[in-house]
Amino acid sequence: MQFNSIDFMLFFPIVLAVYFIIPKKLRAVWLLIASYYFYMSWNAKYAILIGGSTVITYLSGLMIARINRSDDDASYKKKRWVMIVCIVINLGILALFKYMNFAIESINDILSVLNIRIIERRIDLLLPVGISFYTFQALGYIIDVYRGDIEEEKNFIRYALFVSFFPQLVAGPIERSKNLLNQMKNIEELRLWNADRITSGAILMVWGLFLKMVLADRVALLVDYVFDNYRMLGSTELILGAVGFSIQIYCDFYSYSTVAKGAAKIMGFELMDNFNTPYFARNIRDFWSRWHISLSTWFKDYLYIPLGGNRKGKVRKSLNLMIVFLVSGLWHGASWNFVAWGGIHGLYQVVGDWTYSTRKKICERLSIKTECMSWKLLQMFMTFVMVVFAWIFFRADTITDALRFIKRIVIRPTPWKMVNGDIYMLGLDRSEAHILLISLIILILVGLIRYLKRMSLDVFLFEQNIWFEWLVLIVLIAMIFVYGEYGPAYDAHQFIYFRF
Amino acid sequence: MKKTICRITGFLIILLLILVSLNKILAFKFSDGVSNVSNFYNQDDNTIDVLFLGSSHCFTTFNNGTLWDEYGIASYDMGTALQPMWNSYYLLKEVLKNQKPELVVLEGYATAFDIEYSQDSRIIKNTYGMKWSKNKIDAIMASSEEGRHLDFLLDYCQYHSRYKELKKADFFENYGNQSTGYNWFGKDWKGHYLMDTSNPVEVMDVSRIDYENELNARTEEYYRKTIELAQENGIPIVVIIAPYGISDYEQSKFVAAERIAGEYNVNFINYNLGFDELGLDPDFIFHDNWHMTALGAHAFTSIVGEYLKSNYTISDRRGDPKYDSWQRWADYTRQYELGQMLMNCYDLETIKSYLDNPNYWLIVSTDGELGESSDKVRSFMADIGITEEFSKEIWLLQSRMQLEHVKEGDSDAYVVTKDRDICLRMSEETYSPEIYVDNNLQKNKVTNGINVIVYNAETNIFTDSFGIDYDNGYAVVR
Repeated sequence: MQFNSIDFMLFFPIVLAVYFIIPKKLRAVWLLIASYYFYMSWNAKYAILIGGSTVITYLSGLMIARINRSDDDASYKKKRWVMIVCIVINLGILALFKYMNFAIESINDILSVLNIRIIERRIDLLLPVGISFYTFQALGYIIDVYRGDIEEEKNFIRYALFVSFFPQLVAGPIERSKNLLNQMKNIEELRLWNADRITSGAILMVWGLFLKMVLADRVALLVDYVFDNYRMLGSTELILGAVGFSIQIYCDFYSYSTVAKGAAKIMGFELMDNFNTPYFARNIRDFWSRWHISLSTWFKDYLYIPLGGNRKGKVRKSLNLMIVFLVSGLWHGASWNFVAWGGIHGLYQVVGDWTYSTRKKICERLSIKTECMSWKLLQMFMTFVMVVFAWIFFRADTITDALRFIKRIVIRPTPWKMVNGDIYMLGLDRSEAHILLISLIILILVGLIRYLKRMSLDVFLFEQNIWFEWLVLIVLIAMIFVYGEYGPAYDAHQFIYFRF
Repeated sequence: MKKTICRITGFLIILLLILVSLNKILAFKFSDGVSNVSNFYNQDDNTIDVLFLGSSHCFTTFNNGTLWDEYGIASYDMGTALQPMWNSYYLLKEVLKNQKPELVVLEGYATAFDIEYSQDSRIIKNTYGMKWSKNKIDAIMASSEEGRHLDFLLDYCQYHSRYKELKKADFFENYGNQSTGYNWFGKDWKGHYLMDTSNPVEVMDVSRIDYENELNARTEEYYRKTIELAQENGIPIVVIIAPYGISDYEQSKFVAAERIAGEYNVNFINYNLGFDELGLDPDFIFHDNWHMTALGAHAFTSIVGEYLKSNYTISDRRGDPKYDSWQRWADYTRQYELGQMLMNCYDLETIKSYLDNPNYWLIVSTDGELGESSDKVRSFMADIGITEEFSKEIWLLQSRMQLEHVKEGDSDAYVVTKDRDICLRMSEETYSPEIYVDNNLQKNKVTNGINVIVYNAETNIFTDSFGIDYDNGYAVVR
């Protein structure tokens, strides 16, 4: 069930109500039941997979901890093997469900050049929702235990809840055991009846639903139109579509994380921030410290650093960066255009790294002021352009489509369409476009509060007078009620990251 | 703790009030379904003596004003678009909560339906006017397929995106369907949908069809239930098939429906059989293949009323102050019908007689070279209150009195009524008269002659607009 569905509107209050009144000892059990119910509403059969992954990583954690406690000379090798086997099994399941057909098709594509076809049949397996998320979350735990960063979790219920916790189960944030699992250890001690915390969580949920239902799903209408018809459109429409997708994917994903954070907060848990005004980033590295923070830090801690990070010279660093971003691309989707997207970001960072000192020298030579607002704005703009360019590969069906899309921006300039009203024929009429614009302004304002005051919306509202707090919330809720994309005429857009 | 509870409660109350207001604004207000039903709740308890149920064949055919004027019958048209039998049943159940009609008339066109479930828009029109109750929930469940009940039970999901098509009627109660310019809604409206513009329709002779085609199982089930419900409550029920462009297949269904009615000793009158003997002109009474015009409905209802009065015990409520709203509706309907008769006139003398209505405001403008006016035209103009020689001018007249007069060089005249904004202007660019109603420029019928717009201030309807064409022998054009 999606967060913006009637099912969730019924599910969540019931889960909350029971959670708040049951004996403390039963809280973890209840949330675990609720989480599995939530997961099984997508596809009941695949609960076996998440259950299996949970059991394997739980047992592996216990085994590694036991090996650690034994004074065996071969303990290092043993626990390493346990960890490797655990990782291989979990990644194997992920690979089977997510990448098998991609692998088959890619191999066939290569061999078709030689007129050889090895594998005829596709494997028809539905992608289990959230498999990329919970697999990484569980693997993060096992690696943390292996490294000794965290003690093993002996309580199976608590551990299972950590893996399957429903607010962040299907689209993140990918939580760390040091954060969420540690909080779950104290679940029985949580003081649930806290008005400020509950209000704060509710504000975040409202904000998340606004982002999804009013913004993301509305701009999706324009994006879908442009990308479906890009071969007949010109530069203005295509750029609008690309920028629109940048907004869509941000709002879609950010909304999910925000609702997750809000829901978890109401229940007494603090999830990590997954986004921090990424489009205000001043360079690509900054962008990745603000975008899908849980994934980028996961890759940094569990792939980049083990590969050597930046400790083995600049060339090796560049190679490591490329590997991480290519894998990140692949994580997002079993298709070459996702890999290309990841590769582009890797390239941005590598080129940026190699040219940093040259660029710095040029700025000094030309007496360019680099601490003034105009320069920062220029950096933000350039970064945004680079990010939008890369998103084209993410959204397009294939790399060929992406390249054609970009080519048409160059060879089919249509600047007059910015002013002659044609932009209102790209899936959003004038009134819808105005609603989108107002919503974007709200998003930017909230973003500025975050960027400048380092405050999330809930914290900011608590600092205001009550009438303002109520006004903002009522406006957001009313906008969701009236302008939200839901109902029979509304073609529900799946949260984009549910493919992962 | 107390402060927190107060805060949260206060917020929720304000939020609820705002959402309820938004819900009210955005809710559907179709006048061929939703509003016919919701307006029923404005009627006083136990005042409806004859209840009509059925599809659009019902609400365009049975003229409540005629029944009142000629027979003193207090009736209500609980017709909704393509109302299937299951909705007739639940609507009757709803009515019986606070009404005890002396007669139920079931317009039986829906017995010919072969559908298992209605289209989405019809489900909405047939159920969304009902107040929330178990009955409404049952009606929605009966109307929609398994697995789709929630789509309709959560009604705001259906209409929340109406924000782009909002009109005055969405914000002000009892305003009615803005697009028709009516002030229909409110207690006085009895559900009859007044249609204009007649078109010829052939009512086939289907008397030779004496064989049956089985009714659809669901249709038959609820047809029987509707009859049984009326009889269980001691209310006589009659099934009527109004005249329309009937087909053989539909007639064969009506044969079956008549047999079933006979099982319950219920009278079944199919007015398509022996239509010629009714004395109704099929070129005149129909708006389209299925619906009658207001004048057609008047003529047909007169016949039906005679039958109902002769065969059933129905009270004559004329003179009873409790039934004043029926009198007002009858007055309104009469005004509308007079307007329809005016609209069908092309002879100046006859037009003059219709214009002699104290409710009418006439916006008269003269345009073009004009030239010599005929005696007839001069007589017409004098009769409506323009006795002087005229060139390019605009007048606003009521009962022969000039309320406004604009000539070339004069500044604009603005007339503000309770419901309308009218501007009379001599254009400085074209030197022609321009008439704006609610900021919409009215199109002239002739470019050389006299244009007349007739506005009924009582009913708030722009009844007619015609021109006298000086280039075409002073012919009346519309």
